[in-house]
Formats: sequence, C-alpha cells, structure tokens
Amino acid sequence: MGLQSAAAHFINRFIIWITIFMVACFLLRLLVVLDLNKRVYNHTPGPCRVLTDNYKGTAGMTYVESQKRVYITLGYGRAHDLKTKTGIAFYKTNRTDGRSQQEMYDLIEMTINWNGYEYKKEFIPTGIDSYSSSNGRVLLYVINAHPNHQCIHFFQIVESSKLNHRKAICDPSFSSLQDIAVVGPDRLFVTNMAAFGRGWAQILEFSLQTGQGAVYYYDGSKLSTAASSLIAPTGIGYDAKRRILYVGSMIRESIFAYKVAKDTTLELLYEMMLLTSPIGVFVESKTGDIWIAAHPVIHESAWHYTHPENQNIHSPSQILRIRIQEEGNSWVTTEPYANDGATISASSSVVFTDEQMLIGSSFGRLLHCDLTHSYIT
Amino acid sequence: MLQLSPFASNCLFFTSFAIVTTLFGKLLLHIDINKRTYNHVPGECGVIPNLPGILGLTTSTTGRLYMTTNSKDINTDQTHLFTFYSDNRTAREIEIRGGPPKWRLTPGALSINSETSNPNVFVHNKRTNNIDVFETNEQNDAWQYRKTFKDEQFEGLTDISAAGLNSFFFVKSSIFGTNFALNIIERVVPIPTGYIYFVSGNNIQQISRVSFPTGIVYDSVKKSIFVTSSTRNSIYRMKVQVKNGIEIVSSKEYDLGCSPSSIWKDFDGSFLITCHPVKFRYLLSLFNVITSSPSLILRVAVPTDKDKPLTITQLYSNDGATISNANVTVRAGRSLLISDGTKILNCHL
Repeated sequence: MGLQSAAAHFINRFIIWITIFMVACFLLRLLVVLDLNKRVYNHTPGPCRVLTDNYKGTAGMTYVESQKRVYITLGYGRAHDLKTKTGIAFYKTNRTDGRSQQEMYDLIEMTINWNGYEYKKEFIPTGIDSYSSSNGRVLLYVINAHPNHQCIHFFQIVESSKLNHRKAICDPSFSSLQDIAVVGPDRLFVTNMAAFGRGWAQILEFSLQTGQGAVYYYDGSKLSTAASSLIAPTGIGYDAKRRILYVGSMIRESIFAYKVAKDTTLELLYEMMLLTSPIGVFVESKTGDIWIAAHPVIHESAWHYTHPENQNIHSPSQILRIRIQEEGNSWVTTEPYANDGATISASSSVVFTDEQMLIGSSFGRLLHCDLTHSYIT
Repeated sequence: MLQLSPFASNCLFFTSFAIVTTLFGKLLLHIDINKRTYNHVPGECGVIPNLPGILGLTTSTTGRLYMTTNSKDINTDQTHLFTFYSDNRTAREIEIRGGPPKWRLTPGALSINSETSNPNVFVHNKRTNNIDVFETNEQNDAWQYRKTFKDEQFEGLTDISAAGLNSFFFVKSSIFGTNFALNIIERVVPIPTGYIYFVSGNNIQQISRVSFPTGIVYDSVKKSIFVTSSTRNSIYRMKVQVKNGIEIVSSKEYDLGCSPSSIWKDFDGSFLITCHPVKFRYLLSLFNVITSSPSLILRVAVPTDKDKPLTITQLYSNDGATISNANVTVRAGRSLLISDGTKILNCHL
C-alpha cells in the first residue's frame, strides 16, 4: 500500500514535470520563431519602380527564356477575401525590341480560353511555372489557391497573349497549395503548406510547428507524395541542369535541396538555414543561383496576412541571392533588396534576368528594379 | 518555518516558472539567437593596401579626412596620425609641431571643431590619458600643438566630440574597463553604467548615465548630442542647453535593432553607424571562440519631429568573411571607409 502510493506519487510528479518542460519548450520555440527582435533596413540594388498597383496580389512569377517574358499571376488577395480581379499577365524583359520608354514597363494581360471548364469563376492563380518544349510550345502550370477549389491548372500559350486551358488536377489532399516546379512535360512538383487551409486552425498548426506540409509529384497521370512531414513548405524551384529541387520552409526558415533521381524520387542533399522565411524561389538556369523572396519578420507577416485589407499594416520584404559553391558544400548569401514594407509589402515571388529584377507581393504591388551593381561578396 | 498551503505553493511555483521562462526567452532574443547577416555592398569594394586599421576617424568641413591608425609593428603600442586622400586612396602621416618637452602623442579617439579657418582637432592621448588640442593647417600636413586638457576622468575614454574651441563632450563605456568578465556583463545587461561628460575650460561635468555608450556626436545646428548605446540597441538624442553649466533639456531614445559600435555625422546631418547585427556572434568573437563576427553599416537620419521614427538605410553588410567587427566608418567623397582595427575597406558609393 505504501509502495503503491509512493510509485503513484512519483509517476504523477514525473508527468507534471514532463508537461511543464514541454510547455516551456513550446513557448521558447514560439518566441524565437516569431522574430520579435528582427527588423529590416531599407536598401535597393539600383533604381526601382512600381509596375502595377491595380491588383491585390502578384504572388507568382515565372520566366520563359525563349520568349523573354515573365508571366505573373494576379489577384492572390481574393483567396483572403479581398475584392480584386484575377488573371495572368506577362512582362517583356527585352529592352531592345523597339518599344518606347513608356511601353517598356507595361504589363500585358492575357485572355483565357477555358474550353468549357465549369469552375472558371473560382480561379485565383498563385504559384506558376512553365515548360518550353522543343517544338516551340510553351506550357504554363498555375496553382489555383481558391479556398474551396485548390487545383493545378494546365495552360498552353497561343497567339502570343492567349491562354488555352487544357485540364485541371484537383485532389482532396490539396489544402493550401503554394508553389509549383516543372521538371518535364506535365511532370511537376507542388508544395502543400499546411494540413489546414486557412484561419485559426492553420495558425495553431504553425504555432505548434507540426510537420504536416508535403511536396506532391504529378507524373502526367497520377499524383503521389514526394516528400512529407515538412514544416510549412512554400517556395519551390527546380534546377534542370543539375537536377536539384529546392524547397523553402517558412517556419523552419531554411531551404532544402533535393536530388531528383531518374524515377523522380527525392533524395535530401543538404539544408540551408536562411533564418528568414522563404516564400518564393527562383533558380537562375545559367549560373544555378537561387533567388528567394522572403518574409524576414514572421510576426509582422502574420499580422499582415490576417488583415490584408488594412493598408497601414505592412510586412517587410526581402530578396536573397544564394550562390552555391563546391557542389553544395558551401554557399554565399547576398541581399540585393530589403524594404520595411512601405514600398512593397510581403514579397512572395522574384525573377531575375538581364540585370533586371521583378519582385511580386502577396497582396500588393509588382516592383521592377535595375541591378546597377549586383556583387557576390 | 512558514508552511504554505498546497494551493499557495503551486501558485508560487508556477509564477516563478513563468517568470524564469520569460526571462530566458528574452535573453535568447536579446543575444539575437535567431538572426544572421546577408552580404550587401553599395558598390565596388576593396581593402586599402599598406594601411593598418583605423582607431579614430574624423573629417573637417572641407572634407579633409584624418585617421588614427595602429602601428604596423605589433610589438609597439605606437599609433600614428594620417590624412587620407580618397581620390587616389593614399595617406600621408601628419607632422606634429610644438608641444611640451618630452611630450609624445599616442592618439586614440579624435574629433574636430571647424569654427575657425584652421580647424582644431581634439585628440585623446592614450599615453598620458589627456586631451591634446591641435590647430590644423590644411595647406600642408602639419598640426600645431595648442593646449592640453588634464583630468583623471579621461581614463577609459571611448569617444569624443568637440563642441567649441575650449569645450567637448566625451563618453566612457563602462566602470570596469579593465576587468574582462565584468565588462562582458556590462555589454549584455542593460544597466546604465556608462558616463557622458562635458568639459569646458577647466570644468568637467557629468551630465548623464547611459548603458554602455560607444559613440557620441555633438550637432551644433540642432544643439543636441547623439549617443549610441550598444547594450540597448539604441541611439539617444539629448538636447543640451547652457545654463549653470550644461544640462539636458530633453532626451529621446530610438531603437536601431542592432548593437551600435560607433557613430559619425555626415555633412547633411545624417549619421553613419557601425553595428553588431548578431550579438551572440560578437560575444563569441570576444571570447575568441570564433574568429569573425558580422559587420553592418547603417545610415540613420534622426527626424526633427520627436514623434516620427528614424529613417534607416543599410549601406553595407557582411557576414565577417571580408570585414569582421567593424567599429568605425566614415564617408569621404564617394568613398565609404570601414575599419575593424586591422584593415580598412574602401567601398564606392
């Protein structure tokens, strides 16, 4: 009787102490993740200008080398209950094609032929990537971030500024699709950031830092899970020359590098700790440099995403450039752009080409910068 | 023996637990455990050859740059005074004329007052722990000795800022300047152990206490002194007024977000500030656990309106591979000079 009582008392105290320890660890990790002591110091790589302020969101971008165009998704804010027009536009990066100074910074909106697709009113494009086939066809793959209709849409570019809708892939496991990376014709990876689509359930999931995000692979006919148990995977980019897939983790504040095998299984090579939350990933095809659009201060980003309609609640923007050295053994990180949110808030996508940089944001402007000096120190 | 009831003891325990956890979390954030730097240069950068690191730096209104450098011979504690020509990136040593017998100058912090046609330079003589004043002649590279301020409070001086021909402000970072362990505590714990002094003629006056001040600048136009506090990651603006001696009319603290290590006023009234962006790496480098620490250069404009926030622009950032623990910076023409005590980096703006 005495022995049983002592054992029960000991187990009871042990459980209490373990619970206290876990609560303390959770609170400390939450405190560190929120970035309460961080701030951003403004700087630009050269002269910058706002290309458009007409859409509540320019959240996805991709560059098509053969056309010298950047395709931009518009209107991501509608997924967060903002009133805005949605669509896809492109920006021509060629500056020697005879356009005037005024026309050089125009965005050209594209018309979409939906071919009878019945959910076209629920199209909120966000992540986007492209594939140029050898016969000159350019295919666009766009993520639909509508809360009720998360899908991957397949488009083909016809007649220079029209999109032909080919098909859509929808799956119940899609809850918060973020970004897409194409590795071949109709072969692609997508990131699903969290198990819960939005709202307080997602915030709780992020706070508890449970690894419920995933990377899905579509091989042209079947969807499968390529990587699971990731903590908030967001941006994804593919280096076709080196067959490396880069996946950003928003909560872990790092970039995972995977080797894509012949059968498209992923083998983890290394993890780069950024200590800033990557949202968009762009891989330069020539040099292999990784460009990252990041949210450097998470608690301000969370506040901004909770109140996207409030123009006074900013979120800092940050662009990083990572040059991999020695086959991934080391890398140099440079910060070409940083802003406290007054100019561009919550940067979420980036494209660099021909000494030009385009920065897209979740609920606001599209920024264009000339890189007059872009050094890797 | 006071016997608490189980309910009271549980309350006491959980309250203490919450306080300790919060303090530990605050310590983690205070030493910047979740921060890092990303490299950023304003233009082309290069190390100036054949020139050791800068200990002090100042400019006159004509743009003439004066610097105090370490000796190339590490066996001696000699330091030298140079004038720097940024157009061809060369430096010439300054000749000292006059001075009392057997007097030798080991220059440290320096500041310049440009009220007269020949600016006066106030130099902290680390050999004698006095403040020597020189009159410059910018037609040649010669300084004429003028006078010496003597006081025991000059020991441990960190930075100096001239206010007139016979007056200046200076700061001392700490009480325990020579005790390494206690000095480390002063760098981390935000308690006001540093001093701000004002010297006018033979009078020396302590005007305030600040937590580990690292730099001071007197702005005669705004009639204010600007003091950087390394521990509090902040810059103070203190309006001063001469009544019975000098006194602080008002004081305002602005958050910088990093630990400032020096401050220099540019001609347009903005400040160039060197910072330690990641505090725990700086502390580790002090203990020689790691060999380098990140560097950050900011341009800070303090608004005249008290309610407006600072305008901060980042000029330079490095993870320590190129320049480590930058502790002084200055602009000369289109050049940004950064030094960590062992080398001088010259960046084109």
